[in-house]
Amino acid sequence: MARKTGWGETLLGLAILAALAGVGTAVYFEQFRPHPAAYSADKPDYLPPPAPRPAAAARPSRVNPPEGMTALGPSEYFDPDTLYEKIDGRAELYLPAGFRSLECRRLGIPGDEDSVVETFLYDMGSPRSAYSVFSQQQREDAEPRDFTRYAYLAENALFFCHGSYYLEIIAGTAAASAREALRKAAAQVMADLPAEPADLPELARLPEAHRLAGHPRLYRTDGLGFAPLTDLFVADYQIGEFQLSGFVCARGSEAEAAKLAQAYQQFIMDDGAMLLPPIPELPDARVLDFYGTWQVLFTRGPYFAGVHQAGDRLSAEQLALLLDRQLSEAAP
Amino acid sequence: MSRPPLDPERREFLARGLKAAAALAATGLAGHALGWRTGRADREEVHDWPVPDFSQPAADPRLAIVTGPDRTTNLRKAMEALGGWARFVKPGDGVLLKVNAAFASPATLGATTHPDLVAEAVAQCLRAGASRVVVTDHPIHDQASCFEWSGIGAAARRAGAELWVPREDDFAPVTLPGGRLLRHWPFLKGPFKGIRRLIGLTPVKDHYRSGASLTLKNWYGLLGGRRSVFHQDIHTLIAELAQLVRPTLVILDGTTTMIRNGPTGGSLADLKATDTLVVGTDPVAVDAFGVTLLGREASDLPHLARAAAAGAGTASYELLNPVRIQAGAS
Repeated sequence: MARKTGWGETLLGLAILAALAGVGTAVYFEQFRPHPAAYSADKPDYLPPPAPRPAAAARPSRVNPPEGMTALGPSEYFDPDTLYEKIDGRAELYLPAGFRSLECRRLGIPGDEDSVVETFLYDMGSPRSAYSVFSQQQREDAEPRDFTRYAYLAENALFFCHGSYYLEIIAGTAAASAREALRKAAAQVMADLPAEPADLPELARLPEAHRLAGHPRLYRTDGLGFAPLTDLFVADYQIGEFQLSGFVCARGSEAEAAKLAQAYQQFIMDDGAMLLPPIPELPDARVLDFYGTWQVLFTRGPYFAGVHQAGDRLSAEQLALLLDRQLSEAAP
Repeated sequence: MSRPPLDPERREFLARGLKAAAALAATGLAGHALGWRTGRADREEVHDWPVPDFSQPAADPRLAIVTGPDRTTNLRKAMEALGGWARFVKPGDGVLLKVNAAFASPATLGATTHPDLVAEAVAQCLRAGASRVVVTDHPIHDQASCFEWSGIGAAARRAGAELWVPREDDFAPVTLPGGRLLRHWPFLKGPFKGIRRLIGLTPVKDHYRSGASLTLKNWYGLLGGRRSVFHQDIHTLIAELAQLVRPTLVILDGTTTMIRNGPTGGSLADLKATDTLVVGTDPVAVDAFGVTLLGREASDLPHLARAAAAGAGTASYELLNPVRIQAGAS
């Protein structure tokens, strides 16, 4: 016959079960309240530091001093997890565009403080991504440079793309020796990097007439604030007294382009845009009034194109017709 | 066909099982209720380091706006207008200057606090009788290079300040009571030892994420840990910092303003001569004016309204009757 347990044993058993249940319950509910630090792989500084990164010497530098200049230290390397350590909030521009790594190194001519330049070599993973970050941060008064397809010189710095790489070479001054150092450093880094075709066919779909100086911008994500609008090229135009933008993006097929155009139209209509009568010469284009600015949307084959934020209807129509002509000429 | 009756052992087993399950549920619920009532945030408030309040009782004038091309002259004029350094720094005080040394870039690029401004502030604090002046910031990467390339380290040492380059053991967790993000987060406590006055010195900059980097954003540099997680909710974070850090004075340098491509810039073309320096005891008001140097309005920075609503200052800077001065070159 089975032995009957005493009250003492029963209470002890219940107490143990209760303790276990308490722990389990606490763990269950705490998991819903993670600390922000828990989102990251790193630890707060007051905890043991993470393992040191591989020594810089273990990685081959792609930024080397040209003849007559010396490196002022080894290269520094950053990946998507550490990019913000070097460029803080600006990392938010690079990361969505496909950033892979950054190498930084200072070079200079011995004895000449003005000649010190810092090279930022961003590996963006593709020529498209490199162009995207290049085009979104152009400087005013930039002087175009043709040593590579996408490049410009500011007073104290050179900005350019080379295949999948976006480069910034920055001096602290605009002195003549600084500008010479920029030129030499750029030539060296280009010689050391592999050549890579960087053709972006959509650029040729944006008409040149009335276009403002500078390179058209490429948004790899969230074009015009609409998440599905990826790989969107935007150029600024001046027609009459109005400044406006024209845009184009390519899709895999005519049907995909049409679907995207419809979705974007719905997106802005949900935000208050109102349909207006069409342009007689472009009857399939949608014209919309968006809080006092004119938008035009249409598709040509696999391209979705349009006019954004025109100050008046006339300039919007004019740019839409230019875009239509450019895209029609490009049609196979 | 009817079921056979339960035998006594089986009945006892079921009864015990039910009692155990009831005990488990009751204990769990009681534990959860107790834990909720004395929740983690409360416990953190008790044990985390309470950041001292360095603000002074409100007294006019609270805001000075000086225009002129020389930042050192502008600072002198602004402090005269506010009643002199002696109003804010008493003999024997330890003073902490929180600068922006976030990047290892030369002062000419405007990404960091200008060394001339640091030198002037240090010298004036010491002249007012400060027992020591500590200059600090917490750049995430290669701190020593940031202080040296920006010129801040050399300027601070030359003027007689102690440069505090943070070490790992300088950080202690802090919690903003009622805060959502600043909970048990590592904060640069080390340089605060023996400090009675806190002064922020920072340049006016565009910022890709927060819209502008001004005096409130400058406190971001006091955080440790993997603080980049806050970029996703930067306005809430800045508003919480405004409540957590109550300075004696803030100095906003808009002599040159980084009007685009901030916070790093890189090109001289990113800078614009705006010839203005703002000093005040209300950081929200200082920033509300400062953002206008970027051609924007206070309403463009959601953190200003949130900080003001939380009682950290006023975004209606004109209500403070700012003293406006036109200063000449040095």
